[in-house]
Amino acid sequence: MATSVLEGDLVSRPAVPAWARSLALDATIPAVLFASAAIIVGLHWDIAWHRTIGRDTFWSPPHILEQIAAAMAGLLCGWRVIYISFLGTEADRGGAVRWWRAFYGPLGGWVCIWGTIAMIASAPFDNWWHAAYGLDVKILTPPHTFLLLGMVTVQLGAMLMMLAEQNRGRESARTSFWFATSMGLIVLMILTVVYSETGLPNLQHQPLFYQITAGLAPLLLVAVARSGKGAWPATTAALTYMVVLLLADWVLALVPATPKLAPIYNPITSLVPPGFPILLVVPALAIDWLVRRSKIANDWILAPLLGVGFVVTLLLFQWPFASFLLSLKQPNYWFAQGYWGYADRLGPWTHQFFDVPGYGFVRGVGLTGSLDVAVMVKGLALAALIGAVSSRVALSWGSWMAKVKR
Amino acid sequence: MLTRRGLWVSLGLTGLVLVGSGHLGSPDTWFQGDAGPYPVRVVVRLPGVVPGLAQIDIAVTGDGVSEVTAQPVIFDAGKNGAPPPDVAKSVPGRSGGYHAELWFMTVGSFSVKIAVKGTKGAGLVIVPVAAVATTQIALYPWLGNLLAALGIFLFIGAVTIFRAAATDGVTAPGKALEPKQRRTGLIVASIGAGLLSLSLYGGKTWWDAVARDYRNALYQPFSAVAAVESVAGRRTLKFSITDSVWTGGTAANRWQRFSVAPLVPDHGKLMHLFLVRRDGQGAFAHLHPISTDSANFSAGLGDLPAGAYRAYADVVHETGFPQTLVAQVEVPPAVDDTAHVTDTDDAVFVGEPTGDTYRLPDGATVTWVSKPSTLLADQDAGLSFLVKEPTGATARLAPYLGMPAHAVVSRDDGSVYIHLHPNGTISMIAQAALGSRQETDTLPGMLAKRLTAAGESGMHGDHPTFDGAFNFPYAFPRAGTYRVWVQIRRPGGIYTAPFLAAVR
Repeated sequence: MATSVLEGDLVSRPAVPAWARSLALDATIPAVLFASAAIIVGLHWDIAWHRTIGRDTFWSPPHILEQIAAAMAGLLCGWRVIYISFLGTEADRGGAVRWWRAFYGPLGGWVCIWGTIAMIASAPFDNWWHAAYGLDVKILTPPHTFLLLGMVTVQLGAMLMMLAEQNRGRESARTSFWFATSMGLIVLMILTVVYSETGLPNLQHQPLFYQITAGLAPLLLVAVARSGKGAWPATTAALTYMVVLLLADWVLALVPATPKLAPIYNPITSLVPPGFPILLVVPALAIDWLVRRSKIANDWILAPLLGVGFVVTLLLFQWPFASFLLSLKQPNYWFAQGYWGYADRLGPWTHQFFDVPGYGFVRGVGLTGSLDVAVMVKGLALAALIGAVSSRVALSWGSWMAKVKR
Repeated sequence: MLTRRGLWVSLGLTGLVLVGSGHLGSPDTWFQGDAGPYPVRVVVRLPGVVPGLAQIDIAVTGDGVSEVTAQPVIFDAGKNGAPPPDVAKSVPGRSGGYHAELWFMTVGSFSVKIAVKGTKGAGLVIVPVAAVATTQIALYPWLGNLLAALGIFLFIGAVTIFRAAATDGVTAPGKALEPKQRRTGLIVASIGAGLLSLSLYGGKTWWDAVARDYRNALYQPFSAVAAVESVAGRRTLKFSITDSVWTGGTAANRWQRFSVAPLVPDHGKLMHLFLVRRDGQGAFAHLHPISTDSANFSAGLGDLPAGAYRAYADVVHETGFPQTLVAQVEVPPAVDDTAHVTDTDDAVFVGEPTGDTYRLPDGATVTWVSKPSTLLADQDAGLSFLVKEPTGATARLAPYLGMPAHAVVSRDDGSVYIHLHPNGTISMIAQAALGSRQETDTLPGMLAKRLTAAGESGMHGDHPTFDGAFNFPYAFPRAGTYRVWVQIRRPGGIYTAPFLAAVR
């Protein structure tokens, strides 16, 4: 009975132009990847705007870029769902996730649509929030969190669509590369949000930086290492993070802009770039090697090795690199170092490490003391433990991801 | 749920919503004065939240104006601490009308610097504005409904995604689901729903905490009490500031930082205290209590009749931050008729309005000359007055506290109170404090000392007389019945003329 209805449906189906099918099935993939990139670039542009100009409206260019990216991802995925559900072939529907009995679409497509709706819903909420509690000077407020959740969900959707392509074995070299890239964009997003308060090179000699990084970066990098089909998926994702952030650094620092809010303690004349990426490619190489080449089959053994490996490799490279960055004459264009916001009062602190265990600030003298190795080692051990837990979660997540087909 | 919560917030805060720094229930700043050679009238409407966007309307009289700018400068900003001035846009159809929007990014006492350029040269004037958070709005009902609908949709959508992630998503194309997968899907969906509910609960807790912190940091004038002491038949009003921010001298938030600074004398008086009788408002006093210490003030009550009164005490801090402190007081009957007065500038008045013209005891008249036929809230109140001698000639007025006239506006329920001068709602000493603050004024009291000395030297010598026609720039903030008392100095003393205003 059901089959005959479907067949009858097929016969009476109107002819759909080829471009409509192509828009639904081919265009969505690059579009969501572009949206994922535009969202994170827009976010960096917006942060730079706030640190430099201070004042904005709902219609500021970075906001428009983000809203266009979200709308494009949501609308194209929506069209894909409508096409597959009502105009597509039985094979199209067979390869899709059914939703509320009537609708069919890729898993990543549904996730993108969800993220788009969340992003759009956050706009009036945020507007009201400003009217009720004043324009927020911090990034993390309930409506902003909702917006960021929407953004990262669109990015997750893009990643899941790449993943399904990869797992179905279509053009495997290319799709696995783009899958790893889409994960790199999520790495950038997550680190941007947590580093908005904790990512300065000045903070990279304290345990908290290693604990935060070990909690988040392996979660994504280990998962991509487990599920990616390319040779070096985690390394590719880490390089994506670094390259996109560097491009943002080098472009934003060239855009002329002046503060429009007070107090202006630092009279800057160009957008403040986000700063040099952390050297995530080194721990990512270690992750790829451990997950893909070390032949350790037991995840409960692999996870602690990943946690320790991540913290040790990050420490070996990031610790001296942070010292190098702080030693540079500020501002430094190529290393995106020493660009401070309009409300920052510059001083010797811009070249100093903050809150290093064992050091204290004495009024009139400055920083005194020496590194408290015991506290540091304890803090790093905790970071390795956090890294092990997040790696274990990521291994399971990655195993699930390796199975995503639709 | 969301809308009901918002409703409770708004009901609980009705009392707070009416507060405005320096004035009660009348948060807009009105100013009339000269920016160099250009007469200007400025209205600053604050958004009630900080940081927030204020609306500035500027009317410049005269021709040849080429540019008008507005710039907010916080009291202790220093040379570089201000944003660049905003160029005000000309308002189409209103000759000499300009509009600007200014961000007030932090709570505090600000100069809004209005600069005018034109054929007559450049002129600058400071309009003092106290930017404080005074209101908490409720969630708009439409937004509450929209968010609730989207929230439910997104919740169900997320649970569906969780289920699909364990079922359809990991099944090869074209293959049907197995019963075991369906079970797994249900379990994953349930766990997902649980996690989402937890994060929603966390979000609500966060929101509530933000709302609570915001409420706690809302501006509230210092708490104060008033009582009358009768000694040997002489009634003395005792007015005491009881707020721990003042008596303890510690500021817990930003607006309090601006209000722990010493008081400075406005028109030579540390406190201007107004008493308005609660039943019918037929009795009124303008007193200048003497301070016995920084928190206690006292003033003789003259021949003020007995009754229940509202006391409004205007003070200004060294930072230019003005406050109106409110207290209730029962005034007992006078035992004998010794009129005990502590300041010759004090005035007590008993009487009712007699329409648009009021005849003073010496035969002179005060007339509200341009009273609009219908008074509307938030529209220029047209408070223009003309004083005529008994002969019919326009009077000349000796200065009363440095001004041609003072006016007090009060709503019949006491929820609106403001003290006006012909230059508007601003305090003259706040303007002086903001204009003369120097970067070397690093200790509390340094500026206050200079301001007090300058004020005392200004009290001596000859003063010009003023024209008997004057106006007060102002708009009634909302509908209701208001009383306006206009006070002037005549050879026989300080005279008060009462007027009624029914505002729609």
